[in-house]
Amino acid sequence: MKTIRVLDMGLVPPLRSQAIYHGVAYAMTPETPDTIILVSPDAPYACIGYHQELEKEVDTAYCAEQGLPIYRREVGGGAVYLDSDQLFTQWVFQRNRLPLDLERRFALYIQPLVETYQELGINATLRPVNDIHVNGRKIGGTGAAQMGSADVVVGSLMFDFNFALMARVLKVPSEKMRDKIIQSLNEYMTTMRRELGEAPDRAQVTRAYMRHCAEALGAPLEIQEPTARELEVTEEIEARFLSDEWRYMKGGLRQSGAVKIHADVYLLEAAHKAPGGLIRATARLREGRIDDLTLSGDFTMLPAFAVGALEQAMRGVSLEPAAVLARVGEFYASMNAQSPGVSAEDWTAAIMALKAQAPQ
Amino acid sequence: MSTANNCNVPEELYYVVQEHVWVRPEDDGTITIGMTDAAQNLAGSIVTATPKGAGKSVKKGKSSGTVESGKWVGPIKSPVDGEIVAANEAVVANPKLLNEDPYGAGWFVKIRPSNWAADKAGMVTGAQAVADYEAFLKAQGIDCAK
Amino acid sequence: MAIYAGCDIPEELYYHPAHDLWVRLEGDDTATLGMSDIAQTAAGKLLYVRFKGVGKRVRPGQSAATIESAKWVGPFVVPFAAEILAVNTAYEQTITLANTDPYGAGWMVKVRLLDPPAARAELITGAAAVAHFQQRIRDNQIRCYRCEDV
Repeated sequence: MKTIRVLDMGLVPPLRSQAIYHGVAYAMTPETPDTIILVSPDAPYACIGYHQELEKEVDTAYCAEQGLPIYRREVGGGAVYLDSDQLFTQWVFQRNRLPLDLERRFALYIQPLVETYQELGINATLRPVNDIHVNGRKIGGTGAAQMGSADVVVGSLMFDFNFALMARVLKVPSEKMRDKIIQSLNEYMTTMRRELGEAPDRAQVTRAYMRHCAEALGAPLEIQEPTARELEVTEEIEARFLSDEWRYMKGGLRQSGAVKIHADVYLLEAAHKAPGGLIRATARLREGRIDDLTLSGDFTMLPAFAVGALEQAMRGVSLEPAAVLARVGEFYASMNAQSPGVSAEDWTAAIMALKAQAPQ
Repeated sequence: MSTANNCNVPEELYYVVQEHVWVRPEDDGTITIGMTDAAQNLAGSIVTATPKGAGKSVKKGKSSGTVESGKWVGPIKSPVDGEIVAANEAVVANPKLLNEDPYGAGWFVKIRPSNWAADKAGMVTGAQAVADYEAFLKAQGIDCAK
Repeated sequence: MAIYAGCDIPEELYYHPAHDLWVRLEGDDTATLGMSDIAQTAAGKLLYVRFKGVGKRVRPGQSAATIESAKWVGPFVVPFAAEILAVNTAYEQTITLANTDPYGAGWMVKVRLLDPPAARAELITGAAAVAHFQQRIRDNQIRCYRCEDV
C-alpha cells in the first residue's frame, strides 16, 4: 500500500503552473513517490502543444497587448487559454506504474475526475480514449507524456472556462473562423459553472477528487511538500520555458490542420479558386458530416440570400464528392440562383478541399 | 491488550497486515472490518469517513470506502470478496471514533464474504498476528508512541 | 520472425530491455534505430515527429527525436552514446510510417556508435529478446495493431 504524494500548490504564477509537473518529473529518482499535483495559475495565459509553432497557433499581438504570456508544454495537443478557473490535476508516476496501454491509462486517470463530477451531480462519463463528456459536451482535456523516468498524465477540473478568450488567443485564418470557434465551444464544451449554475467550492472539490483518487488507485494519498531538488529543477525548466529557443522552436513534421473541438467535432477552413472568384469554405465537421458551413469570398451569387440558402442546404451532407455535388445540384435545381463563373463543380471543389485538412 | 511497536493488536482478531485492516468473524457468517490502531495513528485526526453503502459488492483488495484526515486520504481495502451488509453510520457522523476506538465503535463496514474459508487463509491471527505486525511495523519504521 | 499477441518481434534485430525500440547493427559502428511494434501500438497514430539535427551527439538515455501521437508525447531514446548520422525525412510526407511499417520504412535514425562494445553490452537479441518482450506483452496485456495506410 504505497502512499501517493499530493502536492497541493494552490494558486501559482502561470509559468509555475506548467513548469511544476515537468520539474517533478525530471527530478524523479527511483525513491520518488508517485505524485499527484493540484495547481491553478493565478493569472491567465496561453499554452501551446509540444510540437506547435507559436506564431502559427497563437495571436501573439493580442497576447502581448493583453499581457498574456505564452508557454510551450512538453505535452501534446493544441493551443489553449488557461486561467484560475481550472484546477490542473497532474499525475507524475514512476514509469511502468501506470498501465502501458494508453486507453487503460487514461481510463484510470479519468475515473476520479468523472466520479468527482458525478458526486457534484454532473452527469460526466469517460468518452474513450481520453475525453470526459457531459451529455455530449466535453469538459476539460487530457494528455499524456513521458518525461525522463516519469510517466505524466495531465488534465483539469473545469470550474469555469472563458470561451470567447479561448477563441480570441488562437491565431485563425479569418474572423468567420473565430466566430465559428466561439459558437462551437459554446455548443460542444461545458464547465461546472454551466452545469451547476455556479462554480462549486474549490476545497470541497479537491477533497472529493483526492478521495476518488484513493479509491481508483487503491492507495492512500498524503499531502506533502515538493523537495528542494524538485523546486530547483522546476526553476531550471522555467528558465528553459522562457528562452527564445524553446518558445520559437520549429514545429515537428506533421499532417492535418483542423481545430479539434472534441473527439467527433472539427473546424476546418479551405479555399478554391473558381473562374468567377475565390471561394473560402469554413466548416464544422461532425462525425464526417457537414454540421455547419460558411461560404465567403469575392464571387458573385444572386439573389442575395442564395449563399445562405446553399450553406443551409449543405448541412448534414457527408463530406464525399458525390454526395456534395448531388446536394449542390439539387440546390441549383430548386432555386433560380445565378453565380457567374462559379459552377456546381466549383462549390464542390471548395467544400471537398476541407477534406484534406480533416483528420482521419 | 497485546501490542506491537506500541500499537494495539488484539489477538482475537484477524489481520491483513500490509493493508492495516482488522477482521472479526461474526456468528451470523458476516465479518466486521476496520482500520487498525497503527493505521489510525498514521492517518492522524480523521475528519471524514466514507464507507460504501449496504448492498455494494466488493472485491478482495479493492476499496470498501475511504477515510480522510487533514493531509491524508486512504482506502480501507476489503480483505474478502463479498457484499457489504452494513456501513457504520456512527463513524460517518463522528469520524473521530476511528481514532478513539478503532477496534470497537470505530468499525468501518460489515461484509458477507462469498468465500470466507479461502480468503481467511491469507490472514493472520493470535500470537502470529502480533509477531507479523511487529515485524512489519519495524520494517516500515512505524511506532504508535512516536 | 516471432509474432506474439499481434506484436512482431524480428529475431535478427537487437533490442534494449528497458526501451521499446529496435536496433539494426550495420558494420562495426553504425546502426539504424526505430520504434518497436509495442512502442508504435502504445503511442497510437503519430501526429508529429521532431528530430534532433544530423551531427548531434546523444548520451545514453538521451532522445534523438520527440514523438507526438493523438494521446501522448515522448522521447525517442537512444540507449547508448551515439552521433546522429541521418534522420528519416520520409516522415515529412507520411507521418504514420512507424505505425504502418515500424521495422522498415518507419525507421527513425541512423547513428554512429561512440562506444560500440558498451552499446552492444546493453542490447539483447534472438530468443532472449523474444522471451523478454513476450513477458512484457503478458504483464501489460498488450495486443499490437498496425494502422491502415492513410
